[in-house]
Amino acid sequence: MPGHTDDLRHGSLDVLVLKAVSWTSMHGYAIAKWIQDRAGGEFPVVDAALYKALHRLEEDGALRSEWGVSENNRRAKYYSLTPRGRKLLSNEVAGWRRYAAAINAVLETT
Amino acid sequence: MSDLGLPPRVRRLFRLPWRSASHVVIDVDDELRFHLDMRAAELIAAGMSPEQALARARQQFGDADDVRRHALAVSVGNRRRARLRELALGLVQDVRFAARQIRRGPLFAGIAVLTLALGIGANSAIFSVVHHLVLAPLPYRDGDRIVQLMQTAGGGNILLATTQSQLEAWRGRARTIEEITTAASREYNVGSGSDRERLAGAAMEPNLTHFLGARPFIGRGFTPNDARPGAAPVVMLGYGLWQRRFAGRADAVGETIVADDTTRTIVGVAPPGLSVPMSENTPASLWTPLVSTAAELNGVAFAKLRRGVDVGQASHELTAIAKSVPDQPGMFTTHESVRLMRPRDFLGTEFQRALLFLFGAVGVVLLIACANVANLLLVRSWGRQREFAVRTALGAGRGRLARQLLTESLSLAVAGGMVGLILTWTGLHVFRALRPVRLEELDGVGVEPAVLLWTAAIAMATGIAFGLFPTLFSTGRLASDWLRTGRWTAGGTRAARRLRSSLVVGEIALSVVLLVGAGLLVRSFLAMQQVPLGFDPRNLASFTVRFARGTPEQLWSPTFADLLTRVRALPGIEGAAVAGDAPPAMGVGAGELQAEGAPHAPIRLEGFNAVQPGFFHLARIPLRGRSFSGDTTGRAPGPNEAVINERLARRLWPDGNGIGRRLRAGPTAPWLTVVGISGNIAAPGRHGDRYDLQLYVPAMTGFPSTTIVLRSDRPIDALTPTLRALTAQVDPRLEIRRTASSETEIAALLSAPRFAMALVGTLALAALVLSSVGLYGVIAYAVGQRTREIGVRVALGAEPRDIGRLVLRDGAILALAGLTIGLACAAAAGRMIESFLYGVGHTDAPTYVSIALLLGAVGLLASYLPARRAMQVDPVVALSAD
Repeated sequence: MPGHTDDLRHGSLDVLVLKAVSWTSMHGYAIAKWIQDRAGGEFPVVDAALYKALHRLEEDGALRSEWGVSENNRRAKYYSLTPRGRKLLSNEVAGWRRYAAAINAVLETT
Repeated sequence: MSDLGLPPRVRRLFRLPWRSASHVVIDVDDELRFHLDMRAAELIAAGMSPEQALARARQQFGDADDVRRHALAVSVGNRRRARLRELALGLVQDVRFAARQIRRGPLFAGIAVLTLALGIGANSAIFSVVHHLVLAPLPYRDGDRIVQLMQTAGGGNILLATTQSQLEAWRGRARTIEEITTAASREYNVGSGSDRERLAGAAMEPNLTHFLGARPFIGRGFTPNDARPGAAPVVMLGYGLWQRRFAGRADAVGETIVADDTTRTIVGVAPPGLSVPMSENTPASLWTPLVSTAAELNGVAFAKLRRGVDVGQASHELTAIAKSVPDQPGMFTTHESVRLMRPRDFLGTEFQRALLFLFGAVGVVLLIACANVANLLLVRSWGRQREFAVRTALGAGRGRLARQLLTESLSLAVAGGMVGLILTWTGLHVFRALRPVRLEELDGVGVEPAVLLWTAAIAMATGIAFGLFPTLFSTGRLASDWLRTGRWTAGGTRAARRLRSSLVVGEIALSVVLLVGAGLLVRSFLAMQQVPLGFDPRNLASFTVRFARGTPEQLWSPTFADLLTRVRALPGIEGAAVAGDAPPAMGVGAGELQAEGAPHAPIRLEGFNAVQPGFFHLARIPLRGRSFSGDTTGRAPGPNEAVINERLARRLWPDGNGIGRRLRAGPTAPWLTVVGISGNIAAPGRHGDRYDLQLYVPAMTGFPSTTIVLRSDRPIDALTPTLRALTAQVDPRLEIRRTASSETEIAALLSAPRFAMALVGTLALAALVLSSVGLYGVIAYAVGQRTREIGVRVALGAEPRDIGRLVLRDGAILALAGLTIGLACAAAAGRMIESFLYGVGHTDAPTYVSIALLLGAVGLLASYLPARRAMQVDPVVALSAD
């Protein structure tokens, strides 16, 4: 059921973005790469969706952005986690784990 | 992470307070382009051509336009929020800093706040009155188009009754008016026995509620049937009476109530606050239908002008129609015009001008208060040059410092406004308590929402106005001078010192204008009190009695004669007589006097009274010749005799000897023989000489009401219960309507000028105190700044009196400059108050000299205190100080 997988991805993108910038600030392209690398190709990120998520999270106050200079010496916008974002990430991770455990519990029922 | 690698100073150079909209677009585009370029570079590294790589990157990205739109919306929202956040944070920071500054100098803050509170409070109090009486909309639909119709004669002095046929003619033919109605203020005795009370009410034509845009609160209004003679008596209760007597019960409609001894059925309840649109807007407690006969109209006519029609047009048309209607037999026929009065015209243009004058006076006090606070702030800001310089060095721009100073001055103004509001509230209480007797309209004045808005507006405006001076003079060169030289300029720049002196000169000049105004009013009031009355008001009093409606006419005269005889027999009564008006009041005469055989043009009569023979002796009015020959009971019709005053005698017959000669009040009036010439009587007040030419004729008692003047050693208030009992004995249908003593009437006539004098005097005193404080402040500060110089002078041998003279000279120059400008302005502005004066001109020399001396003395005192301090300067201490 591809539709369900898409929904799952869409709903999970925010938490993955928050996780990506939880240890250092990153620009949008680096965040996309980071998620794809960690997910081993199982989580193809649509760039447009990524940027919408970034701007939405920034508007919510979970992320802050600042212009800086990238590794190839170009002007780039870097995102980092705010205290509010850190709290949100923590809640989302806990929620995600409870959700996954519940799904697993159902699926492993014989 | 570095920010483009630019050094901070360069970055600061380009930094804008907020990102502009065009910058946001650039940022969004940059971010998306960076992403596409990075993705394309990766694809090129994997072997694609640059064009293919870019095309693939775009394809992989998805809907870039959608992202761009979304990003722009988010960025604009963020930008707005950031701007607001920054503003709010800046404001909070500035207010905190201002509060710290105020706490650091509580004396300074206290003086500034009280000074402003005085100015703002006085201003708001007068605004409350102006708003209530002039600006607030009338409580009627289309209130600005409602006019009362008055027909006049005798040069506008005589008001004529409107006839029913005139009303019908206006209704049918007038094109300038939309609707017409009639109503009349009435008083009713409501209830019976011990439950009886006298209440203000009104009689109205059935269409009045529609005319005023009102609807009965419950029940119905009146129908044309209710207003027919002989109809069943009905009543509409006022809202207040319904609440009070019937506890707001809806089923009160249909019940009955006794009013003027008539049982009336309640058909409805009027909406709260409904009143007749006349001068006094007192809500009526009771409404009855206005019953007019074919010949007589019992009320006053009100019209609603058509939109776009002015009063002049309507007056012209209504006059023409009224003149075309045949007069009723016996009516006064020489009507001149139909005058249209708007409800607020009843206040009189003179009263409205007085209000404007007062508004100007409180504006002056506010200006002085602002000048004083500006001066205080200037002095304080010079003491803060070190702080400004340090903040400038740390990057604060002039605009930032200006904002901080303005926040401080606005904080003071807001505090001043709040304290001022308390003063307004208190002032209005005092205002109402001391108001002139005949200005009941002031009772409704209060702190309304419009007053709150006004107070807030003037507090903000004054805060900005006086805050601008220190901002302009302290945030610029002074701070940079301090940075350059490491020390601050004593007393600020020359321009700033000149500004401070100019402010004080301005303050003194303004207070001189107010003081002269107050002085002229005092002199005028004294002149009013010294007007020879021409009669003896001590122990002189009067009461008016009236028959209840329906009492047979043939009873009137004998009953009044009986009452007069019994009053005269009361213990402590020296004498009593019937008179149309009790002195100092006098009616306005109708018609024009014509002396028999006199060659000159007729003279317009100014004062008129119908009195019994003993009146002159009773009132102690000197009389040459004799009084009337009629009987003293007033039962018989009066003879064709007249008494005139000295002035009228001289106008009619230049030799002043009119006794035995004849005159008449109009070409068809009977001839009257002059039997006596009386002294001139005057009503104290600005219009004391209004009744200059006076005519007395014998009184008759063929009317339902009459006034009895008496002289008694008991005050009229103490005598009233006895008079009531006596009246009830004579005839239970007789009722005392009004009692008054001549002394109280005189006091009432003087209460308006006394009130104006007290008000302007208080404002002038406040202005004097404020400007003296301002002068003291400037001189004291100058002495403080010149301590070192004074020390040098003393060390070089100057005597203390030389130092004192030096300081006093500075103060004298400022006071003299302010006084000279102020006296010149007062002379120029004097014409504005000329119409409020009596017996004194607006250039009255004694007033000007007194004010000059008073201000000189106060200026001397304000300069003497700092001069004394200067004389005590120890040269050793002064020279060793930095």
